[in-house]
Amino acid sequence: MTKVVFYSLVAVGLFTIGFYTLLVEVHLLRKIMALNIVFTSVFLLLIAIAARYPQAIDPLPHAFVLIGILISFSATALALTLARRIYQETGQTDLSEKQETGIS
Amino acid sequence: MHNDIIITSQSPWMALAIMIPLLAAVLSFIGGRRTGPLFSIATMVGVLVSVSWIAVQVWTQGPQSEAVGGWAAPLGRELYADGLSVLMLLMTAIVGSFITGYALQYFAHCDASLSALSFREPSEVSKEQAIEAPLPHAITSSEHALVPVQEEKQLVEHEDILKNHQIVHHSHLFWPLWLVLWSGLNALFLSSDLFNLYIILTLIILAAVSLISLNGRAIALQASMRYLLVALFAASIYLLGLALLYGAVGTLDIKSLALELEANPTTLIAIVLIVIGLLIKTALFPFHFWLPATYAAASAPVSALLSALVLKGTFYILLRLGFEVFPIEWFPTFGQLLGLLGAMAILWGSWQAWQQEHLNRLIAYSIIAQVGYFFLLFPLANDMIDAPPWGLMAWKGGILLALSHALAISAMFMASGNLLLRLGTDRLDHLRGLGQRYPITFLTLAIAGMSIIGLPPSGGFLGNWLLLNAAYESGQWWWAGIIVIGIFLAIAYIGKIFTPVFDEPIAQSVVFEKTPVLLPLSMTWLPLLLAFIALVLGLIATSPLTLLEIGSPFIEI
Repeated sequence: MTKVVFYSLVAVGLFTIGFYTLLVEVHLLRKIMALNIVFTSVFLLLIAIAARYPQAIDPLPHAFVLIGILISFSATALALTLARRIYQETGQTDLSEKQETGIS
Repeated sequence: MHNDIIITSQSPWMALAIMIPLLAAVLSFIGGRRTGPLFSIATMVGVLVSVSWIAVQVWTQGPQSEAVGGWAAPLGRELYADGLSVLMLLMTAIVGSFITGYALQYFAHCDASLSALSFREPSEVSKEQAIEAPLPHAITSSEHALVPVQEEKQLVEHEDILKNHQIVHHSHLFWPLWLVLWSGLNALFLSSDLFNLYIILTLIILAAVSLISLNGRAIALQASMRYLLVALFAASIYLLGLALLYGAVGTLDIKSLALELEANPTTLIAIVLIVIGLLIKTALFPFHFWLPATYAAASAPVSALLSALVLKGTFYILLRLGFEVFPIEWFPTFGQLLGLLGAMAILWGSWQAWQQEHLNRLIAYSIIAQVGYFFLLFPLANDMIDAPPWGLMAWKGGILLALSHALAISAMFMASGNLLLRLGTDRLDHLRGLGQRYPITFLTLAIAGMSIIGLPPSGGFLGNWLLLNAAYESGQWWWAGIIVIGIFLAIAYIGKIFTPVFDEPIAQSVVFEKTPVLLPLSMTWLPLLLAFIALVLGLIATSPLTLLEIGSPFIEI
């Protein structure tokens, strides 16, 4: 198994974990983390693809990853702000319909 | 697919169409509260000028490309415009200008009603006060009379007031966000590189999420959070597809991909991932789940923007990829699959729309059905090898439907926003007997509804007609059946809006009497004008349809 295949498989595994968590977990923080895992897995795949030729590293995917990290960073910041506002407004940390009181 | 000579434009109009809104967004954010409207109007003029210039260039000289910063395609990121992108740009400019005009008054009105209400922050109201003095704007006072009023209730009422008056906390932030969104949309329609499109898509997502959450209601915050999670996940699937595609082909430029993409398992997986990512964003049938709640929760100008323009953005990418990039031998299967999803979207969306009790939700579900229509283009125009005449016909029909839908649906959301502002509710049974009171708003809804149903002479009619003809001539009669059923269902759900309107008014349902709201004239007339354009689009569609042939995938073969 070459390095590229190994890292690609790891990326696919991470993607699956992230996707599963995104679907199953209710807590917003966990969902945001899951989204970050999904993005990281794609970045890992891109890095692995950059090394697909043993002679030389392809620099373009590295540029993609850099921009991708910027995007996922700003998206995470926005998501966290939103999650905080939702907690302030409704007192809950998930997206379920508004319940009666009793949420601590 | 682009066998014709693409003229490399020296003038910077395409870059300007992207940079003007972006610059204005930054400036209006720095400039603060008062400058937003000013910069938006300036942007409106600037974008209209640059987009018309691009349109003239494409019309007279054929497809154009522009190397940003002098860097040519393989390394740099080129901008590219043909008939399709010009039409989309024009649609964005026209609908965007109307919504800008509407939003000017809408947010001014919201701010005014905010200061007129002058309610106290719930934290400042002490318990004694709350019990002693009933709120002047208590919504369901009969219930509250029985229940001892506590701070908890106060919170609920506070929220009800917010909800009923659609108060926008940070309305001045609408302008920079909308300008960023506009810049993103222009960039999307001009871009010819898949990774560039990824950046633009996420830019649009972030702007759209912030716009949805703008009115600060809990329900809007939750809707925007849901939209953020879904859209970002869709973007990550798209990026995953891009990574695989890049690994297999070594380029993400659309023109190079069109030449070099081969049909093999890796590219198949990549393409499926990319398409799923885009379908989630376009809200085609099994992926529509996020749409109704999101669009119903946002303020009226925002829902209009999202439904008219943002949805069309990803549809545009799908058109580009489907017809220009993907290997031709997969196209029949791919087209039939998308058509099947489209057909299910039409049936399910219409059915759900008919079941709704709230105007905004009804409109939101009708969008799902309409998106289904656009996708009927794929199976009908799929025979690219023989290139029969109906291919071009279906291509034109589907795109014309998308254009007229953008005009009609934004008019509908604005009219519905007017009703919500006046009545504080959008329940359909509360519209009872209001036809005479708000004739222009209901006329807007009716005209826009005609275009959505597809009655002549609307653009929706011509689009449906072209699709029907294509279905008939290609012998795929089942799609024609779906279109006709969809039209009847559309008559049912659009009719449902108007059933109570002309009834005798019932005193009970007259909610607005408590707070009579006078809207400025432009808020009622701008949506009407937009709906009217959608209505006559069927008559004036000759030149847009000719424009569509410039650089279209059907001409050269």
